[in-house]
Amino acid sequence: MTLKRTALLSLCVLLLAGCNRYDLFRVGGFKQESFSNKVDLLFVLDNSTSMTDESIALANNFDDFISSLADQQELPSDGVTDATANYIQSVRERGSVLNYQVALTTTDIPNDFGALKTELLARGDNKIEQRFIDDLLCNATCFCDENTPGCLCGPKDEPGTCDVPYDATFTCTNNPEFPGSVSQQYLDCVCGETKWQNANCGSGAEEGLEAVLMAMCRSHPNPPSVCFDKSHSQLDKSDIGSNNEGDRELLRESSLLVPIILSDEGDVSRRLVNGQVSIDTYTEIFDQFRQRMAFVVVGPDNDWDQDGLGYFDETYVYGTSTTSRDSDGGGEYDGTEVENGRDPTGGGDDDASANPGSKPPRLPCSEVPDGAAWSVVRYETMTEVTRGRYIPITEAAPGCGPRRFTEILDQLGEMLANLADAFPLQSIPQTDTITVIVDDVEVTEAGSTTDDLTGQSVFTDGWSYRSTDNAIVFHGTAVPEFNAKVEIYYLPQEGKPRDLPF
Amino acid sequence: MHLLFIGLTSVGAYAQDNVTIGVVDNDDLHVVQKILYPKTSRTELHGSVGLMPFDAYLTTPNAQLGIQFHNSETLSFGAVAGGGYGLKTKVYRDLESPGFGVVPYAFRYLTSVLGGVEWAPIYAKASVSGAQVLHYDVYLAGRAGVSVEQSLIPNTAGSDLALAPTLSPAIGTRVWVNDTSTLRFEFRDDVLIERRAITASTHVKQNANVLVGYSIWSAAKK
Repeated sequence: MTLKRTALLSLCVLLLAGCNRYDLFRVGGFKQESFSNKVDLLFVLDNSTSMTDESIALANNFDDFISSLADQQELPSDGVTDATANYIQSVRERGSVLNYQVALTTTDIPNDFGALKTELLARGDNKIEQRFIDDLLCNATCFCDENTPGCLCGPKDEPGTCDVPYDATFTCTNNPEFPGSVSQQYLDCVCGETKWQNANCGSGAEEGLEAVLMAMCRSHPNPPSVCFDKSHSQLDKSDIGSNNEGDRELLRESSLLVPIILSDEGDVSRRLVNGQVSIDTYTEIFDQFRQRMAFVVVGPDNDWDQDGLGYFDETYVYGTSTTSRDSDGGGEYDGTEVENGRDPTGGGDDDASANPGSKPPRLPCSEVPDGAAWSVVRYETMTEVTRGRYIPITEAAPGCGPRRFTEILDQLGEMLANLADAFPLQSIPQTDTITVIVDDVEVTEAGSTTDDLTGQSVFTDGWSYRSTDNAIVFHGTAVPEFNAKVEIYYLPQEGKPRDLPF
Repeated sequence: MHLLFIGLTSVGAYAQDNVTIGVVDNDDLHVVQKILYPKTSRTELHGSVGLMPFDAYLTTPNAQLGIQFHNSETLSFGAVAGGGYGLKTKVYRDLESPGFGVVPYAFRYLTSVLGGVEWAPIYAKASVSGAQVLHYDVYLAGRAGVSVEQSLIPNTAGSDLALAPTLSPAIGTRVWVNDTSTLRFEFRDDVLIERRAITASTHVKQNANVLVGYSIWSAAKK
């Protein structure tokens, strides 16, 4: 071979091998640009006869809560001074930058089946507080009197004999403004005289989880088939979209759905057997919607450790008796306990077949009957699984008085303000290739342990990957500050993130 | 008549090949006359600036310093060390923007140290517009060493630096300015065996480099 040919061949080999190959990672996060600040708030109200006081408290305090989210003022944007002021305001009043919607349904499945009882209201709507409160009072609150079975109220128009205060000073006008507290006269004015009384009183079976599911089924454009399962549901295909109003949808793309369940009793949703604490049936159904969710439950007292010695101590005092849960010293869940039938099947203390009355004990500050605390555990577990919040509706024992609603709504507002802890990814990642950078500093992966009570994972500071909504979730001190630059690099599982234009 | 007969029958005289005396034919030439700038037993210090422009995602300005010991007119050995910094191209910036959200797991060149041999079989002269004669040589280089590159995707859990064994063929030319200085032009192709931490994979990577430099030579031995 001549020198010339050799040189030419060598050059060709070099050129052919000259294209450097790189794996293509996805990068998610960015500086607020792709992170969604959309929040869909769905109040799920227990409208049984025992919840009148709480419903009134919600109406009385809702004004302040929604005002913090209903900041209508346009932020000035002229120069560095305004920009600084805007940033300070956004840090102090995080709710003011949430793109929210709010609506309400009830836990009364036989009558309402997840249908909205209020307008689907959104940030920017005119008089959003007034409209929500009026719908709440007129369409979703049970104001009972002596004619309603189980009601403790007296005749109407008699001061002090009913849960609804009497205010002779109120003057009804056309479209009156909410005076700050509910009265019989105000209800007569906005709802129609006598139309509010003995109306909207739901069944005694509070199915909070089922109500959320049905509300989602009515809202999603292509709901899963379980929504139309005739053994549990009365919905059919004509109900698709029934919770949407015009082009406004309850479940928006890339939004966070926050069901807020208010009830003084636990959950007895129909897809679970009474006594069953596992909520896997519902979590698996919710997963099918591929919607980010964070449950908030304002529910019965859940103070399990009432003697202050820890939940798993050997003795637990409730009422006037002492019960040892670990009579053989083998540990709470050693499967050998037979006292009170705690684990008759040997499948573990909290399996569905265990005597429901044996775990956990009665909650003295709640309306939950003895032996039915499993219904509260369901709500508690759902809030933990979805990283929401559980807020007892009453103060702790021995007082057991009603908790101030402003405190409840403050906690809710704080939770909403801290939403920026999860970043959904556009593709399914190879989890061992995930790298997370916040403000140019790498964040390490969080360690996890399992909570003994609920069996759920508890994380240390850092990030974790949540497969249910394909998101990176930040924990503890690793949650990015508002306006932080978040970059999440990962290799997608399909090997090629998308078709590139070259 | 007699003269005619003699003319018709006499054999024509063959012209003899010209015999040139005192002239050397082209085929007789095997060396360049008057090598003004010999290299034997001389040391060359060189510095170059270069650019690696052929990668789709990174453009790398770099600088190299080297030393070469010339054993003969054709063979020399030496070492070269350099550093640079890969800059993202517009293609890379477009890909990593929110519009695409794609980040190539690319590595930028930081530094390298190579040693090897140069073979300069060609020494030539060129006439530039008839006004000047340039002396130059052409060499091929074969070097080996190590390169250090940095991942564009941070990975402090492992390391975002890659230490890659490198083979580096090159071709270049030196143009003599005077007896002690030359201009260098070199095309070099570093071939790296690179281990990438995040994907736990090994890749062959090429850093093709175009260099322009200047050399200083030690004095020629008489």
